Amino acid sequence: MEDIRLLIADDHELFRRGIAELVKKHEGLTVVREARDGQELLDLLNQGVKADVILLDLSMPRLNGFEALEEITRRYPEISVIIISMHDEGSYIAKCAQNGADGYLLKNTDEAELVSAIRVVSRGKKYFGPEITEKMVNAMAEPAPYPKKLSKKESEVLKWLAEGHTTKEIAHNLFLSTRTIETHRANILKKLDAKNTAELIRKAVELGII
Amino acid sequence: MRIKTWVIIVLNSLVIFVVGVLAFAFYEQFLQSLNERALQQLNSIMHLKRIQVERLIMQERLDLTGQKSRFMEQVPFALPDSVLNRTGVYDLTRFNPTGYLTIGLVQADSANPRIALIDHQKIQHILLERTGMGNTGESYLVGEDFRLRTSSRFFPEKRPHSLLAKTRGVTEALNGKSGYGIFPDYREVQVFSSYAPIQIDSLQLVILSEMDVSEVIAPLHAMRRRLLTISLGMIALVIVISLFLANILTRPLILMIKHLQAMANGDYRQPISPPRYLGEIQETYTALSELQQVLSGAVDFSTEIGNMNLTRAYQPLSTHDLLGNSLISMRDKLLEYQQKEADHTLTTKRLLVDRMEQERKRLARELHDGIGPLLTSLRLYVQNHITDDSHQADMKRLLDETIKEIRMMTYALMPPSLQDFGVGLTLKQFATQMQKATQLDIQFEDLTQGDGSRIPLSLGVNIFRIYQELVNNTVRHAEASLVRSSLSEFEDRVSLFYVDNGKGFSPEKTTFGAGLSNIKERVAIFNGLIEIHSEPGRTSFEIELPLAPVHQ
Repeated sequence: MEDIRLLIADDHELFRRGIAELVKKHEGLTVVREARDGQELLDLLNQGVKADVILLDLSMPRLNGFEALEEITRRYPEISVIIISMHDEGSYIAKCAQNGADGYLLKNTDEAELVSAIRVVSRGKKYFGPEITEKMVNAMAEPAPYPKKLSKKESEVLKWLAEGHTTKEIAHNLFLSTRTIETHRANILKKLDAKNTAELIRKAVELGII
Repeated sequence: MRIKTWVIIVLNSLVIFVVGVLAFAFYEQFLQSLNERALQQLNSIMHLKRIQVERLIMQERLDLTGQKSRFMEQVPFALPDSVLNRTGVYDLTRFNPTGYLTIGLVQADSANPRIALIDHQKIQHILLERTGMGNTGESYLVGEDFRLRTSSRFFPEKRPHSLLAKTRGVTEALNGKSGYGIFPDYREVQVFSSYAPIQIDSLQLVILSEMDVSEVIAPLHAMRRRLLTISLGMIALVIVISLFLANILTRPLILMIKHLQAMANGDYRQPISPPRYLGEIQETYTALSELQQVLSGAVDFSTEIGNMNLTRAYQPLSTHDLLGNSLISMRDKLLEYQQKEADHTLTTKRLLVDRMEQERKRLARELHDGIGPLLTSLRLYVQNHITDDSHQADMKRLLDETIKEIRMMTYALMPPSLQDFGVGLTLKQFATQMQKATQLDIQFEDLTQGDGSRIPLSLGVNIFRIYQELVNNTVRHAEASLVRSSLSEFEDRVSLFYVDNGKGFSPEKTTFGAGLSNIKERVAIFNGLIEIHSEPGRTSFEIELPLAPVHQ
């Protein structure tokens, strides 16, 4: 069985060296090259450097981890990417997962977890630790609404409006301010090209929205 | 001159003049007619007497011619030849030692002239008839020698012949003239007098009817007294009336002076009640009242300006309203200044907050990207080089603690996700985190536009700080168990809504320290609006912050 080829991209030399040193202790893991930033990493890949797993930092000069991740996922889908970052907030994790990262580790991850994560992703699987997974799930961004289509909240407001509730009642029930509900209502009117609530409800029924 | 004096003088002069002129005219007229009347009366009496006397003498003469027996045989007193030689009627009184009127008829056609005397009692009788002649009227006869021939009313005991009447009337009449006039009589008393001569043959007498002036004009004195009384009464009445009038005129004026003085002293609030009468004064009062209103309006306005209440509107009275216009321009200048100051303050605050946030961001970055990697590198080093397991574990634990601390500090300074994922996601994570850290059921709904969000970082940071403050408040003071919140992004604004089920507070009396004023300040810096409704069980914050318009 061939060694797992690793690329490390991080702007801190000490960290890169530490990882390399740590990885070296384990059989079947080879650090092929190191890169100081995203751009250098892409340059290496473009030069034909082969790798199985990339350990990618997020905060880097020139080309940061997110941008590099997108490029790699697009152009080198066969390479697995593990994000190794200081950021422990869910949105970072979620974004990376959405952009095609195969794993997410915090920089203070233990040696064992790091090695096992490398091995897991090298087999084409995903690795997200339990804590990471929880944070990610919490932060899963709701999909941005399509323009001209009603957002989730707008649909909800429309439903309440159709049931004959007043703005105040809706605001109270949806935990939104009356002005917010008013704005939603105005936006719904605009989107459905209606002049008043009565027409709005008629159109909504016609369109099968409610 | 004071109005009161003036009114009294004018009115009284007028009345005195009118009364004087009228009284004088009346008096003169009365006097004149009285004179005329008296003289006419005397004249007619005198004429009547004259005719009676003449007729008596003529009758006597006629009677005597036929009745020889009536001639006296002997004349009791001596007569001169000049009388006895000619037939005729003679005044023989001067020859009669008794002094009584003696009219003699002489018949000289024979050797022996015959003489008859007319009884003087008969003539006296005629003259004594004094009807209509009052207490001083009398008719009497005077001879050529200016001596009385009949008895005087005033000296009945004296012999008439002893009284000398060399008066104007007698003189005139002796010259053959009859007439009337006012002149002193034989007593040297002013009388009305009518006189005429009586001439029969040689008989030359003067008849006079006279009356004392003093008696005639007695009613005139009475009238003069009455006129004087009436005049004085009228003057007194006029004084009273003019005092009353002057009072009516001056009272509102004096009151007005008081009002004006008060206004001159700067008091524009005293009530002005116009008098119920006197049109012009009423109008003056109305004008004064209007002036007062206008001035007090201006004063109110300037007070408001003084209190820096610059939203107060003011309508200048006209283009000439200097006070009003300068107050308005003052207000406008102050408004401008205030606006400038507010703008400046806001800009300054915004700059301060911006700088503070920049600094925090820089610090967060230093910690996160500077110290963080060093620590993680150190951790790797420990893993690689510390062979003693327990020693390594201890060091790793310490390092992990430090790294955690760095993360928390970073987060507190500036959550990195604000920059990388926007405020919506950051708040959602924050809420999740807080829910874990506390017993609160806290939910946040992210209604921003996600990747298409147009909320700039500075605004995002601001919203995050506000939200932090709100949650802090709930946790520290509200005793709430539930928080619902949302951030909605619209084309022109973002709307942050936050409600908890805590005990509430009075928004007027800030009960949670600087928190609320921080929030308000941050809202103000971004030209936002904040509405707070608080009641036990439901406290809601509605915050709206404007977004810059979309640049196409």
